[in-house]
Amino acid sequence: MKSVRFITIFLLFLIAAFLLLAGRCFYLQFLRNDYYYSISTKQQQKRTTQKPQRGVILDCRGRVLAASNKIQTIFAEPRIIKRPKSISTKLAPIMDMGAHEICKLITESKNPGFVKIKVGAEPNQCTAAGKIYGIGVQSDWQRYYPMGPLAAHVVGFTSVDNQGLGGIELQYDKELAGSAGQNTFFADSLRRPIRLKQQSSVLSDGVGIILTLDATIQQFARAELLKQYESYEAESAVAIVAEPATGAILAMVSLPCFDPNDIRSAEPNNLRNRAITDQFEPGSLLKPIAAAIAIDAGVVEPNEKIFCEYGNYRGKGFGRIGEYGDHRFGNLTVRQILVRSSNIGMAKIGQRTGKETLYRGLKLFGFGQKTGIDLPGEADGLLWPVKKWTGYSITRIPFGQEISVTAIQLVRAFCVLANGGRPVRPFLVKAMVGNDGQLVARRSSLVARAASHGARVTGHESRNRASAVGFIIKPEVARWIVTDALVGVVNEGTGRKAALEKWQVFGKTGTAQLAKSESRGYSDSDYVASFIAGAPARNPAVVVLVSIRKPNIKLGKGYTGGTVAAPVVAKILERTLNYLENRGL
Amino acid sequence: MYSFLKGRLIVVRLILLTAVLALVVVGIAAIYSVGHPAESSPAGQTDDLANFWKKQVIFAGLGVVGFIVVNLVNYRRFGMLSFWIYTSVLLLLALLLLDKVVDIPFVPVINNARRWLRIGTASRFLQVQPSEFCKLAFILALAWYLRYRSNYRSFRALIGPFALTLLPMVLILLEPDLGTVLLMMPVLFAMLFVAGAKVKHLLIIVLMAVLVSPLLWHYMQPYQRTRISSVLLQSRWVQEKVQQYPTLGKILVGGKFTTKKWENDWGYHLIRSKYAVASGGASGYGFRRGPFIKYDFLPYRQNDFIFAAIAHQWGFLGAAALLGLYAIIIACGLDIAVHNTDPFGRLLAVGIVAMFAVEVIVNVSMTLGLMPITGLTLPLVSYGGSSLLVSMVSVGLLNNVGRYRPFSVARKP
Repeated sequence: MKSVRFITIFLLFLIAAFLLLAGRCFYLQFLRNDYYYSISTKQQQKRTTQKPQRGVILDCRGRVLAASNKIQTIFAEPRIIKRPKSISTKLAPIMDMGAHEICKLITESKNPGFVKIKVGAEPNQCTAAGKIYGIGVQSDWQRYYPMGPLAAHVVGFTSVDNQGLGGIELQYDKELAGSAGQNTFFADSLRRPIRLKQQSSVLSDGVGIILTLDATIQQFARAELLKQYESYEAESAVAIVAEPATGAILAMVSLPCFDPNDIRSAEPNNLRNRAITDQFEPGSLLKPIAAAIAIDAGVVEPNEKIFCEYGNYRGKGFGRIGEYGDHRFGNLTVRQILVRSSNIGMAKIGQRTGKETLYRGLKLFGFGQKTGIDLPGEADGLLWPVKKWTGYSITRIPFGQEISVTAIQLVRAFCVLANGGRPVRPFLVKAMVGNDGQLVARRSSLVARAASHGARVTGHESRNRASAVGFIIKPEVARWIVTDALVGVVNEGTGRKAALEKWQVFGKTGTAQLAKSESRGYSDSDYVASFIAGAPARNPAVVVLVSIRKPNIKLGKGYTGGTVAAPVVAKILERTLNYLENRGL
Repeated sequence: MYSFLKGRLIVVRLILLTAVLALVVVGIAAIYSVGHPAESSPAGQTDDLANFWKKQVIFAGLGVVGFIVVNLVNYRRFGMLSFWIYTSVLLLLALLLLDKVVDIPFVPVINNARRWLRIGTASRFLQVQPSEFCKLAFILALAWYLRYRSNYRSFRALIGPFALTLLPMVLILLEPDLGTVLLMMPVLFAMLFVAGAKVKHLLIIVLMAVLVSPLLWHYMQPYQRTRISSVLLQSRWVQEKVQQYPTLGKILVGGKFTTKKWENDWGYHLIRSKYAVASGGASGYGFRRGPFIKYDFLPYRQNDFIFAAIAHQWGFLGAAALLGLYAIIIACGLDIAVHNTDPFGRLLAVGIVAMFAVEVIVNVSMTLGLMPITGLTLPLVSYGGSSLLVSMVSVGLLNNVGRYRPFSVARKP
């Protein structure tokens, strides 16, 4: 029968269709099971992160330089709100906002799971708002810098998501950040967490950092520097106050500065800490160091007289050397060379010292390499290796040309002198303290860590230094430089403006010409006016460096280190020493 | 009481009946399971689902009654009445559409569709879906109409059967209820084919439909397009191509294709049901277990996607067994058709079998991502009173066809 044949064909067709379905099931459930299983379990999980509180940064007396505050954000979850109007009406009196405004936020949100209603809500607002269905409260950490720009370059700043981007914030980002708590939850179809599945990491807040910086001294330094910086219309200015015995940095100012609370409006160029990043030719500031190296090497005696060529020293291979201010010195002792800042005298001392000794000595004083201070972005400075030296080099380096240094390197070198020739390393972090008040790390362990880090960076030379000598130069040489020569600079020489009644100050001026940017040679109008000093000379408590770049020469107020920088140093020294004395330190 | 069992083909009919009851039981179990996960799920998620199984039990009981009732008289009586049944169902459908013009109190609008008639008060009521009954009325009428050869042998004669099909199709399409509409054409073709219409004619009609389809595509709503194109879009290769050629995206989804939109909107049901099936593996998570039962990942898992829920809980074995039960129904139904030489009885049986087969194939295919997602339920298993009742009545009719000989032939001595 024909019809039966058609029914059979129909049946065969259906059997084929059913086999296809069964085959598809087999494919999905056997062959692709692993793939889909893993996807669907992943989809059922939600990870949440508990953000840790970032550690505080304190100055050496416990004043807060940076802290994280909890800010509460009230938000709505539009996808679960069925009647935005009634919820807005309920929320409006709590938030002190218009119901219409809230309703608009909820209904026009692009994100169905989250719309901010108010950032930084009061606690009572949070409790009230949190009770309304569809409204939630979220806590975030916000970094706050109570002292604003005061120590901005040291403390640094953070990004919106609390990541350290500069200064101590960057250098110790890992320690400050702590670690977030990671929890994996089972989630429902709307990705809401239902039940904890596993805790992959436990929340631990960041450790606090105590700096050697003293906000009071920082304030002295900043105020005095700022005054001079503005009155001389300088391009930039740097001040560092350090404790020579330890290398602890008590203040570090870099101008122009920025406000870490409002990092977005800061000029990017001002974010850098010029005290450690900007390199310049030190000029006369290097003279005491070069002299100390020469005396230590025994090539000159402190009282030996050196003929200074009446201000015009020429020779084959090193060109012509003149004096600042066109002085015509005759015979000068080493002391006088330093006091009157004779270039020719220093050139002759350099020639006597010899390339190798001078180079080794400068290297030991820390030039041409990072000091290892615990701040990011430190520059190396530039000290050419001996084989790259030209005939000019040995006569120029002793008075601070053909070498470039950072402010912190100079401070470190003068700390060595003030410290009787013992090496010091500048540092900023005194200790790290956990949230429970427990000491996490002390200075000593931090030094060890920094030292090992420094050794890696600078290579074998720094290791040689560390193992070969306990003193960089003989203590008596260092003492002579400080108490005799450098005291002379302040009392009778170029640094008279730094003299104080109460304390015996020692120091050295430096007026370096800046190299022309377009052509060879030095500019006649661009100077770096510096002064580095310490007091009291017998037992130095602080070393202060002030360096002002490009004071406006057209103002006619002068441009030399002795005129521009020395008064600032004097003020900082006076106020700092008074403060330390009153505190009984 | 047991008179419905009397008659020929008792073994075939008993097997049929057993398979049907097994499917109903499996359905109730599956509906129960999605409302009662073994591990308690978060509050408020399955409240609605929790009570569905009870309603399904009631309708299963009603279905059994319906099964017995249609066996009280010879099936040919229904054939004689088929015109009236067909007309009255059409009138009901028309009534639903009348609501578009005049608001009729007992026609609720659910999901922007008018598919139900509501009987009772606002809180306690019974909803029936005329389109479900229309399927059966249409098969009855068609079988009755096609019992004469002259009604389908020529091309022109095919106008009658097609008119008979298109009339309810259009009415249901306007409700709208796309799933039921899609069911009717294959049933018509199956019945015409078995009745003996010329294959050439049928092929010409199919060809015409294929030629018209781009036009149809043009008039489709974007959401309807994405339903169909989502079958293709499952493939990563197609997704890449669509992202490469914006014109292709315009044709397929009516706009720009984005993975996010695909995962959260167009492909949402497809992806979820596929995951539910595939993560079931060989033997499944077990009764009332598994994440897709516990959480609200899979929408409509008590009706349209119940196959996914079953495959998730009982794995490949369960899915294959379910398909096996349907295969038994189809085989028994066609066996009954073969053994009845009365054209009406045979066509009725083939029509009912075709209806079941199409429903099962379309529903399972959409669950597995082989066909676009339409609102077709899994017969006898999915939650839904009207559907279950109609399915049981259909099986009753099959049973009825099986019982009677077409002509009274004297018994063998």
